[in-house]
Amino acid sequence: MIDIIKKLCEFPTAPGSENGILSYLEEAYSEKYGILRDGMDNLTIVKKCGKDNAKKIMLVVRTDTDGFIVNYIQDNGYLRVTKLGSPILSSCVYGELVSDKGVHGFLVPEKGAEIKEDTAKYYVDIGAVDKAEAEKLVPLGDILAVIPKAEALAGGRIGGRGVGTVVGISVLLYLLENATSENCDLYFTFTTQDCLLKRGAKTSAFDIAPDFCITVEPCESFDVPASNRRGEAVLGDGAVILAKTSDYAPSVLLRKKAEEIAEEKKIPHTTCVYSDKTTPASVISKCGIGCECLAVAFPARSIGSGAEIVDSSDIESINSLISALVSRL
Amino acid sequence: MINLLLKLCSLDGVSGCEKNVLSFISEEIMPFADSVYYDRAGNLVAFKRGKRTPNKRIVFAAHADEVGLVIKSIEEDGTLLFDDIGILASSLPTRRVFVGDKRLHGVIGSKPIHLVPRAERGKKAKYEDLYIDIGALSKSEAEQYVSVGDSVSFDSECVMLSENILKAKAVDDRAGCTVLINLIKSELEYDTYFVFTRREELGTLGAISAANSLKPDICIVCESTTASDICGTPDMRKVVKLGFGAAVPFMDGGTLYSRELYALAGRIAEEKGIKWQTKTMVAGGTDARSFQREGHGCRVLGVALPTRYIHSSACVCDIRDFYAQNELCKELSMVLGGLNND
Repeated sequence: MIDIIKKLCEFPTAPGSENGILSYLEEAYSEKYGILRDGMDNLTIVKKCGKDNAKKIMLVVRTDTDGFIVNYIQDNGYLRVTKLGSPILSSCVYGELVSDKGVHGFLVPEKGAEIKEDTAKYYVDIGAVDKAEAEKLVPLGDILAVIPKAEALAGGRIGGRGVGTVVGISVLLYLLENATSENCDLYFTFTTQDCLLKRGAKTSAFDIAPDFCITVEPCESFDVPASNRRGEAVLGDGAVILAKTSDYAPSVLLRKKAEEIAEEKKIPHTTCVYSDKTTPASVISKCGIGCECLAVAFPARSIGSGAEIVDSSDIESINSLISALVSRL
Repeated sequence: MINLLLKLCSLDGVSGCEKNVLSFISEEIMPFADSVYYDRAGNLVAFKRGKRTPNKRIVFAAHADEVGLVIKSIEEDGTLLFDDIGILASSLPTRRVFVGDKRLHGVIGSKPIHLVPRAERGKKAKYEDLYIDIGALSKSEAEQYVSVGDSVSFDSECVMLSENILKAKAVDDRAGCTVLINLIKSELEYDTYFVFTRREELGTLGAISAANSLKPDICIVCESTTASDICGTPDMRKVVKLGFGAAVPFMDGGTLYSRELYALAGRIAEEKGIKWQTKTMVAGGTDARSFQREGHGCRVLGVALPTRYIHSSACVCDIRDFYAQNELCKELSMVLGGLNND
């Protein structure tokens, strides 16, 4: 598992700058499967069952992580940036960023500035000597991504920066290789601009018009010091079946079916309510003619920081659960 | 072209009441377009054939509505209370307005300085402190002329402040409408759709329907955008500046624009010697957000006119930027249909 996750870390992504990972996926799978792209650049890999009028199951993960966009260049060559999504600045400070043209830089707070979540007090130093050089390397509007990194930790855990996103992608790639359905066509969708209010997901289901959709994403694990949250998932709980989020109550039909399968096959799982979490299932369920949506998550500590930590056993549980669910729909 | 812009700015078309503006545009473009119709949401759509069939469906969009007010109550003393459509209350006191379809004269009233306690002077006006005075002395008299729900637009003359600087209401987005009309009147390289949307200032509502019915692959949104190049604003917060050309944003509050189209617009502008700039702050939002994310989505680009005091009765812009906006849209229309499907 760690090998594929490390491979996926070679593609830094930010909202609007997902082309590296999407091109890699397209190149890797286009010979074997059909590929769809839509107006938001979402990539869908199609695995058909071969039957006429087959039902459609869509499986969805995001490909982007929070990043920055260059909105001003100072005379002395420093870049000023705006957030894309909600990167935690205190965790990005002095961290390395990279543009999709490969220019590297560091996010630095102004001298004496308090570390606050306001980009006005930060600049990006790419080493340029003046505005002209900086503009040539990173023009206004260029996107800067944080560089993902994952390492195997103790206890079968995996940790690093951007781990939630790459683990999600690895789940979908596992399902692409291993999930099968006799009666349904499977659509594996890798969305864009998820960190910008799930914008990519909003169009992803329109042309496909799926009957069912299952989204995969990280959910915050609160088994950390000083946390007093209760009733939510923690690392090692298995696959997390979301019963409600801030903006969506996933399909009861699919949720019950997933719970039954998990019980039957003894797949570790838990059902949770995340009142302050949003999910792409919310927008996909309303896209076009709509569909039944289920949101399945894996617990992750410190989402959005440089220390996202997941448990590989939870990922195995998700892989098993969704594979079984897909085969029975 | 400027005369057409002045004429369009002088028309009233507060969000939801765009009939006058759309009728005028319809008459203006009818002889030049292959088809002109209203869609279910009341947006005005035109189609014009070009010399070639495009690889992708191209749509140019501009919104026909403008900011304004709407009457919410008629008081016993004949004054009118109102709600806003996209305007800050602080910009309103003593403004002259037209109320309703009959364009009844009115003025926005507030307490004179003599009646404001010293401690409250200097504070910005709030909506609850303001009313419209149409000269009626009682509720019954006012009700003869005005109804709740009537729209209110600014009574604001269009004038050139200097050789190149124009002051008018509703520059946002009659400038964009003028650019579209001009394109329709010209010879086009590719078959192109044009849509003059309604209710942009109420949350890009018209564009939602237009996006679903037209299903564009590429949409160019011609807009006006905030220029904050005014006294006391640090350079990095000026957003865009008058006289520096058409504004092509890479992002705003509602949309991360297509990076390919943004780069293409910059390249064309450089090649053709058209002045252009981008926004140095991520702010505002346009119809682009709906075009980008309705249906199966599409690639969007914004080409905007930098405008000071936008969303007020006195928008100020540089007509050289307007010409640049127009030229850049024209040049884009020559190449967009040739883009491939990758």
